[in-house]
Order: sequence, then C-alpha cells, then structure tokens
Amino acid sequence: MKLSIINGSPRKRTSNSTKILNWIISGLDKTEYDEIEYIAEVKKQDEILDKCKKSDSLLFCFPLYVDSMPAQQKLFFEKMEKYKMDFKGKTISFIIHSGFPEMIQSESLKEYLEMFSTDIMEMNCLGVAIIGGSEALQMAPDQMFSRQINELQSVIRSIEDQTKFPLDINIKINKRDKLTGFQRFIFKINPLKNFYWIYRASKHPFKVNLKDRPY
Amino acid sequence: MNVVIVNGIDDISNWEGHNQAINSINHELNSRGHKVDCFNILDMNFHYCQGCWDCWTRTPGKCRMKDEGEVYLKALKNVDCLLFFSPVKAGFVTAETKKALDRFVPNALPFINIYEKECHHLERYPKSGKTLGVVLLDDGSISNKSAEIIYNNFTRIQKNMKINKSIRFKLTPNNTEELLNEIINN
Ligand SMILES: Cc1cc2nc3c(=O)[nH]c(=O)nc-3n(C[C@H](O)[C@H](O)[C@H](O)COP(=O)(O)O)c2cc1C
Repeated sequence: MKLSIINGSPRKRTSNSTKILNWIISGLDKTEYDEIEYIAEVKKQDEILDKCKKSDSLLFCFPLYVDSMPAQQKLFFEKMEKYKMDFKGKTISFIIHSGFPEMIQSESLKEYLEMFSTDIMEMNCLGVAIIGGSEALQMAPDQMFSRQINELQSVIRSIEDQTKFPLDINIKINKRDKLTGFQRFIFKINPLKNFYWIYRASKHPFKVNLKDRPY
Repeated sequence: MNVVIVNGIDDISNWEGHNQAINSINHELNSRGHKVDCFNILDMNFHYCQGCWDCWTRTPGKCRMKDEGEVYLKALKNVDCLLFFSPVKAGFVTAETKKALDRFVPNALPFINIYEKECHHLERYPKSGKTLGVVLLDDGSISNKSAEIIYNNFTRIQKNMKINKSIRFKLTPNNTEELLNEIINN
C-alpha cells in the first residue's frame, strides 16, 4: 500500500500540521510513503497531483482557516476533481485542526470533506480526525499533547489497515464538542488567555499596539 | 450603505453571463446611492494568506503581503453588507473566493472572548448591523447538498465575523432584480 502524505498548511515546513504529521509518520510501520508534500507551494501542485494519482491512499493534514480549509488546499481539491477517474475507489483520510479549542468549530469542514471525498470524488473516506487548540503546539512541548498523540494511534492503525477511523475518535481526541459552562467561565476570567499574542508582539525591537487600527 | 462585493469567479470564459449580472448589480446599487467596492480577485494582485501572524503581532491590522489586499481590508472596515459571489467548484466556493475569506483575518483581533457559548475573536473595527451574504453562481449544476454545506459554513463564518444578518442566494443571469431587493431590504 502506497500512501501520499499532504500538508495543506500555508506555513509549510514550520507548521503545526508538520508536527502532527510527524506524529503519524513515526507510527507507520508497514505503509510505504514518500516524503511530506507541501501544497501551499502552489506552483508545485500539478507535480504533487501526479504523484498522488499513483498512490493507493491519500492523507491530508491542514489547519482550519476562517472555518474551512486554507485557500491553497481548496485549489488542490479543485485540481483533484478534474482527475476524478484517477482517484475513484481509492482511500482518503484527513486530520484537521483548529486554533480554537472546541471541535464544533471544525465540524462544518468535516461535513464538507466527507461530501467531497465520497459524493464528488467517489473515494473511500477512512475518516476525518479533528484536533482542537492546535496553536498551542507552538507554545508547549509535545508532552502536553500526550493524550491527543495517544488517541491518534488509532488513526495510525486505521491508515495502516485501511479501515475506517473509530466513530468516537473525535470525542476521544477533544473530549467533547463544546466547552462546558465551567470551562467558559474559567476561560473568561483567565488572565493568561492573551499571553501568547502579547509575548509574540514583545519579541519585536519596537513597540506594538495589538489593538491598532491602521485604516 | 457600504457594500463590498467579492467576485470569486476563477474562469471568466465560463461565467460570462453571471459576471455581467454581478456588474449590473454593482451598477444598480451605485445608481441607488449606495457605495460599492467590487473586488474581482482573479484580476487583482492578491496573494494567498501565509499564516505568518504579522497582522496580529508585528504590524497589527496590516498584512505582510504588499498587494491589493490592502484596499480590500480598508473597504471591509466600514462595510455594512459583505457579499461573496462564487461559482461552486469541488462542492465549495472557489479557491479565489476562499483566498479573500482567508485575508479577512487582519480585521480580527487576536483576543478571544466567548460569543454564543463558543470561542471567537474580538473585532478590530467593531460595527453592528452588518450583513454577510454568499451568492452562488447557479448554472444548474449545484447539488442541494453542496449548497447546504456552503450555507452552513457561512453561518459559521458569520459567527466568527460577528455578523448577525445573512443573505443566501443562487444567482442566475435572470434573477438579479430579486437579489437586489434582498440586498436593499436586508
Ligand atoms: C488566516 C487564518 C485563519 C484562521 N481561521 C481559524 C478559524 O476560523 N478557526 C480556528 O479555530 N482557527 C483558525 N486559525 C488558526 C489556525 O487553525 C491555527 O493557528 C493552526 O494551528 C495553524 O496550523 P498550521 O501551523 O499547521 O498552519 C486561523 C489561522 C489563520 C492564519
């Protein structure tokens, strides 16, 4: 079984998607795969598409961008649609992740991806795994994500065995669809919630007003 | 009212009639005293978002890309009615349309609050009473399922942009009058 691994993040190699894909790759044992392809290098998309046509299975990982896939990723789907016959009947799987912690943010995209792969491409969709709160991957060591990494083992097994992802996989990874009332309350009063942005802004040698209105 | 039209047609030769319909809507709104900014993304120097976060932490509100995205962001600042016109390709709005949606981000603040029981970002230029519309260019081939998924997705986007009024429309070259009424009466 030959797998194509496609990273749809506009941040390419330095993305959180790369981190997640490396977790997956480190668990692959019997699957044959090429190196990760970065489709945000839009000029390379045709070449990458040709490689994908020769694979038995595709795995995509990309972030939520304004409630769906990044535009570069959408362009790749449009190219795939043109060569539908080369993909029909093959397997496809997705790992999508969002800055916001709740999995409900990504559910509309999940619904689209299932429709795209099944109804439009006539492919066999193994599943769409959702990871919430992925921007934290930039801030914290992998150990902070040990639970998610652990749950992703069943995604790795599904890809290796070419079986569907477990139905409850997203609840397992994210614990729940939405934040509980208590979590929302903690969130509201948490003085650290904006720390990451303030910290990033402070890295510049000049003063930055995060609330600036330049226009 | 300030109207922003994003025209996400990615291949004019296939959408001649619809493109004319969009132009006539632009014209008609103008002649009725509305201020319209129309962005034909395909014809513009307009790059994909690179996800660098400069617009939040280095040059707040400004994109790193030095292109016509700046005019677009300026227009969004005062918009009352923001309309995305798009063909449906691979079951969703076009990559050209999505490009413009992604480039909205500088107009949000990095700060998060709880809105309708979910996490959402604060606005850089808060303004109430706005409308977000998605107008699908209908050539008779849009499946009901695609339309429903796109409409649901725009309901999500609306929450993220903190916009409470919506327009959902399928445009053929023959029903521009109907859409105009919706825009004006919304
Ligand atoms: C332009 C842009 C739009 C985004 N839109 C959303 C969004 O709608 N919802 C969300 O939860 N996160 C959103 N994010 C956050 C990303 O999903 C998050 O930062 C992710 O970890 C980036 O992954 P990457 O490093 O693999 O690109 C957005 C980020 C950018 C740059």
